[in-house]
Order: sequence, then C-alpha cells, then structure tokens
Amino acid sequence: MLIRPVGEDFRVIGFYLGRIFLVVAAAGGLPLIWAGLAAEWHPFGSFLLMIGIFATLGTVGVRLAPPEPRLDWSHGMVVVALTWLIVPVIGAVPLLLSGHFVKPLDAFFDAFSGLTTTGLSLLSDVDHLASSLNFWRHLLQFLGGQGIILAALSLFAGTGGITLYFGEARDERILPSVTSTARFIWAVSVAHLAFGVVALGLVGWLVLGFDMHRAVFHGLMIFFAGFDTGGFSPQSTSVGYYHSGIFEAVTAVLMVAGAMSFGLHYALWRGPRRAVFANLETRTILSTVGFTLGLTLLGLAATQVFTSVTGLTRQGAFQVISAHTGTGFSTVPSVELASWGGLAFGGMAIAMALGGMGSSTAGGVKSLRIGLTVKAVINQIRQVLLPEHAVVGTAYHQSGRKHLTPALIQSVMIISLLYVALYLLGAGIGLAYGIPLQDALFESVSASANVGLSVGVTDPSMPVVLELVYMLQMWAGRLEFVAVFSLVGFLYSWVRGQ
Amino acid sequence: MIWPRDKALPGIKSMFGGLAMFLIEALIVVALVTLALVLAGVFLAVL
Repeated sequence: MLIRPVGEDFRVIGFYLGRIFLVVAAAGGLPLIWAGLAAEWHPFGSFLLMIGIFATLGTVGVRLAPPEPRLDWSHGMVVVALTWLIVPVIGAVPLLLSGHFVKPLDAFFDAFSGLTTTGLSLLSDVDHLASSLNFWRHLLQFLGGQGIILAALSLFAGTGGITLYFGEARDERILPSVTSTARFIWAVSVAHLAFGVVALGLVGWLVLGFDMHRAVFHGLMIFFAGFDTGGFSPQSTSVGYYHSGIFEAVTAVLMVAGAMSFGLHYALWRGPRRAVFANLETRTILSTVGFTLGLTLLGLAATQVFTSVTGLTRQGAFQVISAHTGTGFSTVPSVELASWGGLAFGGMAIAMALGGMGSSTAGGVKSLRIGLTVKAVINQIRQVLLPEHAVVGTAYHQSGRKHLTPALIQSVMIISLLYVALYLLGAGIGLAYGIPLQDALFESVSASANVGLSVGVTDPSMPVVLELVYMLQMWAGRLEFVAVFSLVGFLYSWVRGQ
Repeated sequence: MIWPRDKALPGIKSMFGGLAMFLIEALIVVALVTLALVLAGVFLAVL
C-alpha cells in the first residue's frame, strides 16, 4: 500500500530546500559583486532579481520548519531531485534577461547544462557575453560539480545529511562524518583552484601574451569548467581558442583531477599514495583511457585526418581525455568532430559513455561499475572452469579491501543498464527527428554522461522535444537515477496513496 | 553551527600535500600523452 505524504513531509522538504536556496542566494552574491566591479549594470539588476527570488523562497522554506525537522531517506532524495530542477530555473533568470537566447527554454537549458556539469550550450554569441554572466555560467558548473548539497552540508551540520549526500550520487565517506567529508572535498577544490588558476594564468600571461586581468579571467573560467568537468568556455571555439599545447596540457591536468574520486584525492594528499594505484577504479580507468585512446588514434590515423605524429597526438589525446573525464572541452570544431567516422567515433563515444570515477564531478557509467562488472564476469568464468568445491576470491581494492557481493553486483548492473537505456532513449528520439544515427547517438551519450561534446545537433533550432529529452538525460545522468525515481515515486504516492 | 574547528580538515602546512597531489595528476597526464605519442607514431608508420 502506498502511503500518501502528509503536511509534515512537505514542511521537512521545504525546510531543507529553503536552506539550500539560501546557500545559492549567497553564491549569487559573487557574480553580483563582479557585475558591480565591471560596471555591467544590466546583469547587475538581473542578479539582484535572481538573489531576491532565491532568498525569498529560502526564507519561506526555512520558516516552514516543523519543530523537529527529521530528514528520512525519501525526503532526502526528493530534496536532491527538486534542488537540481529548481535551482537552474531560477539560476537561468540572468541568462534569460541577457538577450543571448532565442527562447526562454534555451536559457533554462544552459543553466541546467551548467549545473549538471554537462557543457552543451544554446547560447548565441558567447564571445560578446558580459563577463559577469560568463562568470555565473562557470560558477554554476562549480556549484554543480562540487555539489550544492555539499555546500549546504558544509555549512549546516544536522540530522539526515547522509541521505542528501548519497542522493547527489556520492557514495564515499572519506572521513568519519559527512560534514567533515564535505569540507575536505571543498579543501581539495580550493587547492586545485589555487594551483590551477595560477598555472593557467601564468601560461596566459607569459606564453599567450594576455594582460594580467585577461589571463586571470580565462584561467578562472577554464578552471571552473575543467576541474568540475563541465566544459563551458568563455569563447565559442572552446580551448581551441588558445592555440597552445601547454595551455591544453594544464587544462588536461584539471580534467583528470576532476574525474578522480575524492577518496583518491585524499590518498594523494595525505597518503598512503600507493593505495591510489592498487585501487580498482584507478586500474580500470587507466585501462579504458588507454583502450579508447588507442581506438581513436587508430581511427584518425586510418582516415588520415591528421598526418603528423604531433598533430595526431595533441588532438587525439586532448579530445579523448575531455570525453572520458566527461568535461566536453574541444580543440576541434563540431563540424570536424562530426567527420571523425568509424573507429575514432567509436573510441570517443565509448570514452564518453564510460565516464570518470565514482564520487567525482564526472558523469557516465563510472569506472568503478565497469571494474566491478569485469571482475564479476571473470569470477563467473573462473567458477565454471574450477572444480565445484573451489572458492573464488571476491576481494577488490577501493578505499580499502572490500568484497564483491551479489547485492553489489545487482546494484552495479541495474545502474549500468539504466545508463544504456538512457543513451538509447535520446538516440531513438534523435533518429525520429531525422538525425543520422551516428550524430544522434553521440549527442545523446554526451548529454546523458554529462560530457558536452557536440557534433552540432545541440543548436537553438533543435526540436523542443529533443531539447527537453536532453535535459531529462542530463538530470537523470547526473543524479544516477535514484533521486529522480524517488521524486516520481513521491509524486505518485501523493496522487494515489492512502 | 557554522564552520566549527575541525581537525580533520587540511591545514596550511599540509598544502605541500596538496601540491604533491597536483603534481602527481600532472604526471598522469604526461604518461597519457607519452602513450598517445607512441601509439600515434606506430599507427602512422604502419597505416
């Protein structure tokens, strides 16, 4: 029997949503200050409006609080799913008022793509967008990548935080408490922010000849989009704009860092560093990056797209790292990417579909699930080949020694199959609109795995239904389904429950 | 409620650990680019 939610349930959900909205309202103060300093008064007004909406909703939500707001599992999942729907709607207000979008839905699409760290964009003329709006787009990726919920957890310790943490597709408790874990994740991000912006800024200043202000601006934007595996760029030609191998190399370091689980960051920071290379996820992702890199380079070499070793290495490696980490930066135009047929296309599509590590900012199936699936298959084969009474080992390393249990395998298989279904859903609808199979599949995988590489399907003239489907894919893919299904179940119980 | 002292957080002194983390990530990229260079050389020579 389904139990209909009561007023108390809505008040608890409203209370936690309210707290999160207040955190986002505070974050909105950063682009507001930026707009003020840059004398961009039109965006300044639109940021004020956005902050006002967040602050009003947040205050109302917090005032709704029941005497003892206890967050259970279903409440937490509903809060997470609603956060990731409502924040982009309100966060799209400054983008909508900028006049850079053909229709209101496109502004929402961009905010949604930013928050989910996808990077697909429907923005027209990004090269002439106000700097404060560009900052807000990139900050949305930082908020989404690090986790809005995580920000709220860092500030507001309290009961039920663990359900919010897991709801945001994170499954590692690095430190004993969720609050400490959330704060450590922010410490890792701040360290990367410092090293990343300094490194990119120096390259921009010393190698590219930018003035200091421009070098820091570009360094900051590329850091936000790179470390959070988002893929937005302040220029329409993405990282190709910089025409610099060293800039691409530093960007690649940030992309790799963004796709690593925060548990591994902890091991790299505090040791034991050997644990990083014993980890099943590390071994899996190194194998799959090597495989997809080989496939892509072979395809590009066979079709003579690049004829020099350096050209093939630079373009092939950057695109594969961008695809596998789920970032979506590119150094080749969409039209050229669309012409990478055969093996190169396969290598890129597989890289995007597999994605980064669990508990990172990357999307896709995730290397832990791939590693566990391979291990389960090997164990199954060994079980068949060995004598009946032989015991097959099930241990694996991932933040310590763990065991592969039937329940774990079941969970891994279900989520992996759901990803495959999500990839096929967008591809099928793209096909129905007459988009060629290769392009429809590439764009669908890119949206679902929160990558952002495009072969040109994502365009302001694209069908509205396809735009909505891509948004659904970004949402479900980012939250790894559970929170989305919980919201659907909650709404169904509200209508049909007793 | 807001930001109490938490000894589990890395301090300023341990920023060297943070720098080591960044440098190891840079080494991973160097290894990937080296692999790509070898593969590109072999594929272009063979095909």
